[in-house]
Amino acid sequence: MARYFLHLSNSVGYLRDDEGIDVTNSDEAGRIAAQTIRSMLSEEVKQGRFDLRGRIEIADDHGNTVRTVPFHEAIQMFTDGPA
Amino acid sequence: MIERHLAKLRARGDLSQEEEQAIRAAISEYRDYPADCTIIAAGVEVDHSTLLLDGFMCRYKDLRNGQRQITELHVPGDFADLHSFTLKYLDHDIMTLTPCRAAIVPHENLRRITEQFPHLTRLYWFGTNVDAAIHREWELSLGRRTARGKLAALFCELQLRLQVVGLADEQGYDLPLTQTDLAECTGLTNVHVNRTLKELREAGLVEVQGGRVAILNLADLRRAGEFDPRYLYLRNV
Repeated sequence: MARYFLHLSNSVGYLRDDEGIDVTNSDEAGRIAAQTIRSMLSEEVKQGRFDLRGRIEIADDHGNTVRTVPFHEAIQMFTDGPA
Repeated sequence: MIERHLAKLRARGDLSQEEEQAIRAAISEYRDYPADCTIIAAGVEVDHSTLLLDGFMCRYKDLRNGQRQITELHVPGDFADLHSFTLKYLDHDIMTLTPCRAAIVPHENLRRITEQFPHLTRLYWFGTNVDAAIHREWELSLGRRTARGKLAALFCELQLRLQVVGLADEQGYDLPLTQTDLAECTGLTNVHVNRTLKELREAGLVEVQGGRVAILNLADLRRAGEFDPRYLYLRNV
């Protein structure tokens, strides 16, 4: 297990994760970051707002950013063409 | 040792000296558990109920993909599984969230209480009904409340339940849980909990830091969580 920290940056500002999550590797941390983004966006959508301008920075135990997940990478979006 | 349990019972009904003595006599031993330890596994037959004296425990269920839902938190003074007396095995696990001290009450001794102390038996029945009421309130949170409402409701519930056993006042209480624990209580993710805690702090409702829940404005926090304490049935408070 390794500890990763998911720092959030969006239109509201920057939110540091001081607690972190214990996962097997950075891929799993990436999956959790995507789930997190979907969870937060879904809540916003229920309030009639959808803002994709944000990202989660995944940092390791030494504080190095190992990966960045932009909000738009966590979802598939369709706006044109037939439904 | 069981003063918090007695305080919890007395918040909901009167308790005689004989009944108090019967509870003390029903305890067979005391056990200490480390944090993060599953003390009762779903599906396994148990012959005793666990009375939490110190620390925090939870009831939880897991999905195959590892996602966990905590279905109720237990505070000192709670029976974590009085319902195992009749159910014999549980449909959920019970684990410690912090180091815990518990009293073990064999089902055989509970059976004796039901035979000899009908009023105390009704108080315990009342207790399992209150657990069901707490579950209904959590259903409402999980299904319908916003992230902010879910956490506000949870902090209000714990404030009152801990106050009953002398571990909280209107300014706040110690809550040595992680953001992961709170996420698993509310069906949110850690980061979402973190962000919502920031919102609650900035709105002047509650500040959660370093294992302490500092209530900044109880009336507004209750409004944010649409908290109606009647579901806790505290008749004598």
